[in-house]
This record gives sequence, C-alpha cells and structure tokens, in this order.
Amino acid sequence: MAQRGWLIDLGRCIGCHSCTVACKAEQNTAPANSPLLFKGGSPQRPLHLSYRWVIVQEGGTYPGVWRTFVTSACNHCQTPACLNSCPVNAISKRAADGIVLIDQEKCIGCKYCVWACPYGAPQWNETTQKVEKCTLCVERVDKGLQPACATTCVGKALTYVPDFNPAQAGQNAPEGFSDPALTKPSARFVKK
Amino acid sequence: MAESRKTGLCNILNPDMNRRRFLLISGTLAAGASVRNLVKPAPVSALVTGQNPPDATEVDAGVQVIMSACQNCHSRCGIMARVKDGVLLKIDGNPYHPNNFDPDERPPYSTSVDVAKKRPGRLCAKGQAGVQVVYDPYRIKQPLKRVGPRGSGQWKAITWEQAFQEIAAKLKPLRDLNTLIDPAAPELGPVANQVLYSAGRTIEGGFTDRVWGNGFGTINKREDHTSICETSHHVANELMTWDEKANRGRKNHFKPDIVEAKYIMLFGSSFLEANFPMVATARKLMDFRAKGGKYVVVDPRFSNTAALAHRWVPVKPGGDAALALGMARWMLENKKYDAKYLANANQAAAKASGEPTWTDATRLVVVDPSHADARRYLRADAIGGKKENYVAWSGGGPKEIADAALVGDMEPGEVTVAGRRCKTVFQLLKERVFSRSLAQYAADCGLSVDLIVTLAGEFAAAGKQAVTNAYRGAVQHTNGVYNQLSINILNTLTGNYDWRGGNGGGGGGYPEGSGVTPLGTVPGGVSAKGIKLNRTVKQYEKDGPNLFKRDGGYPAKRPWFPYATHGNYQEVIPSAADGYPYPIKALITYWNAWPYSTPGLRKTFEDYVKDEKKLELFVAISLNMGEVAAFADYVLPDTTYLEKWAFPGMTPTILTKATPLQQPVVGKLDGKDIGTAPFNPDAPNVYTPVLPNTKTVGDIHIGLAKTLGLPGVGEKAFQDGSPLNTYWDFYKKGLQNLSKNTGKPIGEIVAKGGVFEDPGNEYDGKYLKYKYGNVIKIYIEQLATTKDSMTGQYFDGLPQYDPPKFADNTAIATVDEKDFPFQLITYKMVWHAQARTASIPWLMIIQPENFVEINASDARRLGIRDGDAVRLVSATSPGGVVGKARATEGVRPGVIAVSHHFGHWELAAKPHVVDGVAQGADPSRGTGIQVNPIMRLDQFKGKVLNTSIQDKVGGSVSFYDSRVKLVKA
Ligand code: SF4
Ligand code: SF4
Ligand code: SF4
Ligand code: SF4
Repeated sequence: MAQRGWLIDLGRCIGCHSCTVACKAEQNTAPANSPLLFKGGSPQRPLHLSYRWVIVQEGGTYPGVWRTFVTSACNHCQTPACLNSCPVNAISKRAADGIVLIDQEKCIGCKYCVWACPYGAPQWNETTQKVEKCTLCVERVDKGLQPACATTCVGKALTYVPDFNPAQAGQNAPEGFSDPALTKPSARFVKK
Repeated sequence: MAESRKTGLCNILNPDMNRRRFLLISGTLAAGASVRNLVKPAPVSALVTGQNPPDATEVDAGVQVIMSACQNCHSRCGIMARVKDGVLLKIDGNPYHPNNFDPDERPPYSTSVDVAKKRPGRLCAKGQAGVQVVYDPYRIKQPLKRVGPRGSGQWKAITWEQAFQEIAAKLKPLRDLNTLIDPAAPELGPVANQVLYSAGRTIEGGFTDRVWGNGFGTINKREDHTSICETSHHVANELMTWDEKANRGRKNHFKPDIVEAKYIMLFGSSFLEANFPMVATARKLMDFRAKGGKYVVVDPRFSNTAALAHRWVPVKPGGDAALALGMARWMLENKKYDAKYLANANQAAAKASGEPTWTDATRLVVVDPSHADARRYLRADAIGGKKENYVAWSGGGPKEIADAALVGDMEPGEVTVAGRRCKTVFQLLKERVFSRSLAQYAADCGLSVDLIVTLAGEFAAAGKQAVTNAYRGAVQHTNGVYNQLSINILNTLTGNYDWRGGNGGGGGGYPEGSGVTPLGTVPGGVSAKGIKLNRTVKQYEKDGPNLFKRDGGYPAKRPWFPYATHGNYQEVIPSAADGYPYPIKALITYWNAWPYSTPGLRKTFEDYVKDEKKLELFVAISLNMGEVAAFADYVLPDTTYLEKWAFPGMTPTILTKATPLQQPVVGKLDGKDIGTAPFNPDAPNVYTPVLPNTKTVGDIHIGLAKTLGLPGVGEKAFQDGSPLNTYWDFYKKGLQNLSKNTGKPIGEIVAKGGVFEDPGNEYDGKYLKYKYGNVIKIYIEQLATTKDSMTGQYFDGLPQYDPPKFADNTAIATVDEKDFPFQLITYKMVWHAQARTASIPWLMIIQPENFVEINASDARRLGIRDGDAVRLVSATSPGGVVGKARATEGVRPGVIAVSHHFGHWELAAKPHVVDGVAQGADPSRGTGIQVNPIMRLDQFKGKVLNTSIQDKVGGSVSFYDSRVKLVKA
C-alpha cells in the first residue's frame, strides 16, 4: 500500500501563511462563511476551520529572541487515532494511498476524533455541526496534481510526498509535535 | 453564545454572501451552471468531505486558466487564475513567471500552457486572496455624485455620461495653456497646472500621462505615492549612478544576487515580509540559507526575517548610517576593502582588471572653499583636457580620465592642480568616515562597538559575495538618502556590483513602448510647463527666481526638492492648502489613500478638501469608499487589478529578462465570459467588468478625455493614425510592440501572461549576465553643489550619519525626547499590503487586529500589561490614538512598533448612503489602529508646519522618527 505524506523543512518555513490561505481558497472552508465577531467592541477570531495552519512560537529575552514557524495539517497517519475513535465509521483510510477522509454524510458530530487526534487536525464546523479536516486535496492528487498548500509554499518548506516511506528513519519531529509512535503520522521534518 | 455577529452589517464571508451569490446580486450572472455548484457539490472521490466543495481543478472540464499579474501588493507576481463559467475560482502563481519559481522549477517558455498549468507557481497569501477583492460586496457599483457636503456620506447614483459631462464642464475652463497662474512668477506655468492628478498606486502612468500631461497639459500629471514608500532609496541610487549628460540617474534599484551571495546585510528591508517581490526574495533567501549563506537583519523590530537570520541587529531607528559608516571605518582601518577595484579610474582600467564597474574614488574634488569650482569634481579643461572629463592623480601628477585605461592614486594627500586645492574622493570619504570614532558610531546607532566590528569582519570576509540591501526601514527617515548612500558604501568598498553573488540591477524587460507604434507619442499633444505643486526636481533659487525674490530668499516658504525624482506625495495637499507656490482648483485621484497612508496628513487633508472655495472640483477614481473617495464630489468606480490590462514591470531581484502582462481574468470580452472562448487579438475586445457599471481606469480616462476633446484619445490618437477608443486599443498596440521586439506571437504572450526569458540565463561566468557596467559614485557632486531651500546651505556630497531632523535642521530628539520618550515605527506584515487589504476576510482572519508593540521591560516599568488599552500621544496629536498593548521581547527598548494595515475609518468599515439607502458595511475593516495620523508634523524655528517630517533630499516622508508617549487609556 502506498502512503501519501509530507516533508516539512523547518529551516525554510517563513511563517507567511500562504499555505493557510491556499487551503481556504481551494477547499472553501468555513469561514467561507464567517465574519469577524465582535465581543465588547473588539474583534474576535471567528470560529474558523483551517485544514492547514501555521504554529508560531516565540521565546527568549531581548535581544536573544527566537521565533519558529511550523506548518501543520492532517498527517494522514498510518494508524489514525481519529479513525479508531469514530463510533460510526465515518472516517476511512484509502487503501490505495493512505489518505484519511471524513465522510460528511456519516459524521454525527460527536467530536471524538477531535479529541483523539494528537495533532488538532479535525475541525469542528459550527454550521454543519460536523467535523471536517484536510483531505490532502484528494480531488487534486487523484488527477496527478499536487495539494494546493504545497504548490504555493513560498519558502519551499512544505513538500507533498506521493510515496511516503513509513519505514524510513529520522522523522525529526520538532519539539511539541506529539509522539509519532502514537499514530505514525506520514510527515517527516528537516531540522531548522 | 456570548459572541454575536453585529446585526445589520454583513460580510463577504456571510453564508448568504459568497462569491457566486455576489454575482447573482450584481445581476451579472444568469442563473446557470455555477449556481448549481453552489447549492450542492458534485462529490469528489465518492464522498463529501466538507461543508463546501473544493474548487474545480485546473485540469477539469470547463476550467480555463488565465495568466496575468497580481497587484494585491507591489510585487506584481505572475498569477494563474482558474475560471469556470465566468467565475473566478482560485488564483495560483503563473509558472512561467520568475517571481513564482526558481530557475530549476520554472518551465521553459516553449512549454505549452496545458503542461505548465499542472504545476502552478508559488504565490503568497495576498495573491491568492485576490478572489475576495473582485467579489467584495462593498465595492462601488456605479458612478456616484455627492448630495450632502463633502465627507457627509450622502450620494446619488448617476450615469457615466452625466459624470463625464459634468466633470468635463468644470475642467474645460481650467485647460488654459496660455494664461499664467501668476504673471509675477511666470516660472509657475499656466492655469492648466491648477488641475492635479494623483494616483496613489499606479502602474499605468505611461497611459495616464497621455491624458493629463500630453492631453490636458498640467505639470501635475502624476503625483504618485512613491515618497510614502521608499523614494529616498531610489534617489540615493540614482545619485550614485548619475549620468551628467542625461541629467538623471542610471539605476534606482539594486538587489543582491541572493542565491549565490555568501553574506547579506538587510537594513530595514524585510525579505520574508515586506520587501518586494516577497515571493521571490523569500524563496531565494531560503535557498541561500540552505546553501549555508548567512544574513543579518538590521531592524529595531524582531521581524520574521530576523527570526531566520544569522543575527538580529536591533538598531536604533534612523541610526542605519552610523552602523554602516562604523563598519566602513573598521574596513578602512584594517584595509579590508578592494583597493584594486577602487583605484580603477575608468571603464578601460576596470575591464583590464576584470571589473564590470568602476568608481569615482580617484577623481579629484576641488576642496578650496573660496574657489569658483569649490565642491565640484576637477574638470580636465583645467589641465588642457576636455571639459567633460574628470581628473585623477596618477604617477605624481594630474591625469585626465579619458578613454585609455587609467589607475589613479587613492591617497595622494592634498594636491594643487592649476591653482585649485584638491583631494581625491577616497581621501574625502576616509576623512568623513574617520570624523567619528567607533564608540561614537556605536552610540549613534545604539549598538556596541564589538557588534559593529564583528559585522564588519564577517562582511569583509565574504568579499564580493557580501552585499548590503536597504529599503523602506532605512530610508523613510529625514536622513533617508544619507542612510542609503552610507549603506551603499559597504558595497562599493568590496566592489560587488555585477558580480555573481554580488549586487545587481536585474534582467529588466523587453520593451513594449515602441517597436511598431510608439505609445508615448501623442499627435497634437502638448508639453506641460512650469513648477510642480510639490516643487520636485526644481531648485528654489535657480528655477523659482521670482518667488525667491518675492519671499526674500532663504528660507523658502516650503521646502523645494531638487532631487526628488520620484515625486513628493505628502507635500501635495499641504502645499495646496497653503496655496504655495500656487493654489490648485481641481483634484483627480486614483487608487489613493492619502489621509490613511500618509503620516500626519489626515487633519490637513480633511480640512483642505472640505473647503469648496479652495478646491472647486474633487473627483476620486476608486474601487471602494476609501478614506479619499469619502470626500470627493464624484466617485468613479474602477475595476480591480484582476479586471484590467497593464504591463506591470519587473524588479531587480529577477536576474533574467521578463515583460509580464496583466489582463482581465474575469468579466466579458465582446459579451462572452473570459475563458469560455479563445482570445482573439483582432476582435474589438470590448471589456465588460464583473460589475458591469464599473470601468477600467483606462476606459474612465478615455471617456473623460474624449468628453473634454483632448488630444491623445479618440480618432487618430496614435502616430500611425489609429484610434484609441477602448483601453484594449492601447494594450493591443503594446502587445504588437512586444511581439515585434521578442518575436513571440500575441496569442502566446496573452496565453502565458507575458514574455519570459528561459531559466538558465542568469549568469555570465563569474558575473551576472545583465550588468550595470558603469560608474559608481561615492561623492555626489549634484548634492554638494545644490542648496537646501530652507537653510541656503549646500547639501553634503558625502555619505554621513545625520540624526533625524526637522526642516530647520534641529534634531527631533532634542525637541521631543523629554516629553515623548518612545520612537514610533511602523511595519508591514507578510500577508497584508498597505491600505488595500483590510477588506479581505481571508487575510483579516489570520490576525483580526493589530497592537501597540512595546518591549516587555518598558511595559513592566510603565505597568502596562498585554491587552491593556493604551493611548499613543505625540507633540502633533495630544488626543492621540488608542490601541491594545502587546508586550514583547522582539522590539528594541524605547521603540513602539505598530503594523500599518488596520484602523481604517472608511473602506466600508462604516456605511455610506446612496439614493437614500444605507449601503452595506463591515466593521471588521476598521479594527485595530493606524498611527499615521498622529505622526509628527515638521517645524521650522519652532513654528509647526502642516506637513510631516520628511527628507529634504530624497523627498521621503518619515515613518520612523516621530516621538510618542504612552498613557493608559
Ligand atoms: S507557505 Fe510554506 S513557508 Fe509559508 S507558512 Fe506555509 S509552509 Fe511556511
Ligand atoms: S493527523 Fe489526526 S486526523 Fe489526521 S490521520 Fe492522524 S490522527 Fe487522524
Ligand atoms: S465527529 Fe464525525 S468524524 Fe469525528 S468521530 Fe464523530 S462522527 Fe466520526
Ligand atoms: S492538502 Fe489540501 S486540504 Fe490539506 S491542508 Fe493542503 S490545501 Fe488544505
């Protein structure tokens, strides 16, 4: 069985959010339907679904400051915790390429997968009361195209890997990335 | 839920207002195929994976890709627009365009579109968000005429015909090319100059000059925004490459050959965020980094670029020149410069030593202050040579610098030639650099001597593969030109120009302005005369003799800007308000956000434009009800950048040649949706935009100019006798020129979004293929022999550290520092442009508001915590502006940083009324703060002026020298 996955070069991610917006634009995720919200006159980040996002972390003391960027989405794990948690078998892993998908017709919105996934990939949709997540742009990769986030990546940090080799050593997961032993994510990193 | 959507106001991301629905509302799309898509997705891969279906892909049936250019920021990257049934689905990068791909990813030009489209080019968040610019529900949909007082927000819809007729009737009497504005000062020119056209952002200056310059005849034909962007950078580089014969600079922009360099020092130039084209500079900088290159970020703010840098150097804002000259001092002291390069006095000598460029280092300058030639390069006629030649000292005597190879002495000491005491430029530079100690430089730039020495050592060790690059952050200061000249000195000391891995001018483009039909030739056209309202490229004493006499010589009533070759945007309205040097009567703006994007301008702008006695006519060509349009008499709605033609140009970070084409990607050509029929360059190509009652900026100009009966439009508008009745007529000519000049058919140029030289042509062995190949000046004779209109003193001809100053040359800090302890800086986030992107939900969602960023130790001292409301107060604005504090370790202590995209007060952040009906608005566009309105106004001998602090040499407005204090709100 083939497995699709990601190669993420942490030394090249510039935190530009182009991948985030590419995913929104390609997948029309909500908020393709949410305005900014106001609470006490201040804008709030809307309840939004981003199949992909960029984790920004900062630390240090002036002038010894650091900031890191890690792009993040579903890792189409080899032993997906989401799939195992779903009580109605709405989540499937495609045999041919290992892409993990949530069937909206079957999802009952129990959010078990949201709690089960160690990577925060499943996203609650307030409007549909169901859970969605990165599809690895299945409609694109099935036609021999690359996922929208990967084609656009400005820093050449995020690469789509059509033939991810789960046996290859050296996953180089960054600090804070949940233990790969849990779900065997199909993502490999190049250290900064 | 505690959170609730504000009622009565909607947003594009409202479920009822997605882009297809928008089209229905706009009445431009018959209920058809694309509406079905909206209601129920055709499931992909046998199951429905989300609430909304993904976009159809570029290989799906019925989908077409249109290659064009982005203008959601000034990078103008290539875009590949995916369209289906007349709907814009997705914007990706144009794979042929070198902004969007590295040479090893980019397909050769001969690759067919069907193949190339399968691997779209890279594109930033802004570029992809362009979909939401077209389908912004709050665009203006038809021409509007004001019904209440200016700025009251009351409008009525009118026809284009009515708009053109009424505007033309008011402009016609002002097109007087014979009557002088002021007979006592004929230098000001005719009454026609009292009509002023100001584009904020423009890439169609070549077209609009035809209307306002050659057609209408006003000298104020294109007062664009460059001076609120990076003007002093351009001016300094032009002065460094000045061509005496042509009386202009040869080059305004150099960039490092990023990938092949070894050490890059970025001064206020954020390659991963704000510098342009970010998509190319960021990608290349990461390539450079992966190859082991080291880059240093000189910036008071810890930017994303700094986050990946070898070093972050938190310079004191405006201290850039002190750092550069401190480094230069160490390099000079330790002989870490390319003496061989600097000794070449001319091209032949340079060539013999394998150098594409040479310098003026060995030229002699007359230093005798009493001599008539003082401050000038010594000319060879003094030693019996040609007047246009310079003189070097070589082999113990003066030698004419003519065609034969000449190597000069760098430090012969003071020599006397034909009765004139002279020194070499190198000698003068050394004296200047050595006039301050490293400790003084360190204090000036707020860094340590150790750091300066370390940086100088690292820089020098990389030889010609060490490059400095400066941009907005270093030059939008009152000392902008001198900062840039000082930073350039480091490149000149290593002689890195035109070297592979060095500093280069880019590949440029193929000409489209001539070949078949010269676009700039206007049969029957006039040439405007006189002095621009902002007094750019004119000298007070020389060019304004009657004003000089009338006003008693120095100081001038307002500064003049003899070398501001890229205009002065901030001076326009304040000058008009003062009526100096003359009042204007009509103002036409395009894509202009003056009061929002210009420091210290809001109050002067609003007071001035509200006065109908002073300003008789105010027309805004504008996509939306922005901060300028809100005050106009007429708002003429133009199209988005995705609905117009242009030749947007290239930037020097691209080493090969390219001439991209911008073209409409949605809307109709001759009644058919773009993408549903093959493009035919011989068809009339009458364009109907997405909002059918809007027009391209070109068609607006043509309509108005035809109503006015101006030359340059209508029948026989071109040299070959052909007409200019639609915007396409103009670009058809441009495409014919480009086709002739490149041998590529128009159809192919249109299909591929321009003409692009194949990858693999970047280098010529050790050098860049496209070379500047000319002289680099250390000494700026133009400045040394030109007087400052406010002091009557000559400008300085050498790089220098000059602290930020008011117009009377008193240091700002000495006046303001005591009461206003913080220096205010602004910055640009990577997913926003300046005034235009707050309307885009996909971008606003990333970070819904901005902050007053303050160093954590300053915040602790003042008892300010994250999220506290704080008021920023300046000497100019006692009321100040209130924002939310964010304490961070990533800002230099004593500095406040605020990003420059938020806090709109118009732009449909609030409703306006058309025909009695309140139009929709989205308050999320007004979140956060904009600090420009509180920035410091200039002053002269204690008297506060009505313009912000600015660079008297380059014309840049200062964004980074205002002082503020913080009060808990
Ligand atoms: S587009 Fe690439 S470089 Fe930019 S944030 Fe995403 S992964 Fe990082
Ligand atoms: S990342 Fe999470 S959602 Fe994706 S397959 Fe793994 S466990 Fe499931
Ligand atoms: S939310 Fe939906 S997909 Fe997730 S576990 Fe529950 S039913 Fe399954
Ligand atoms: S692969 Fe597609 S769905 Fe997944 S994050 Fe990237 S763009 Fe979004």
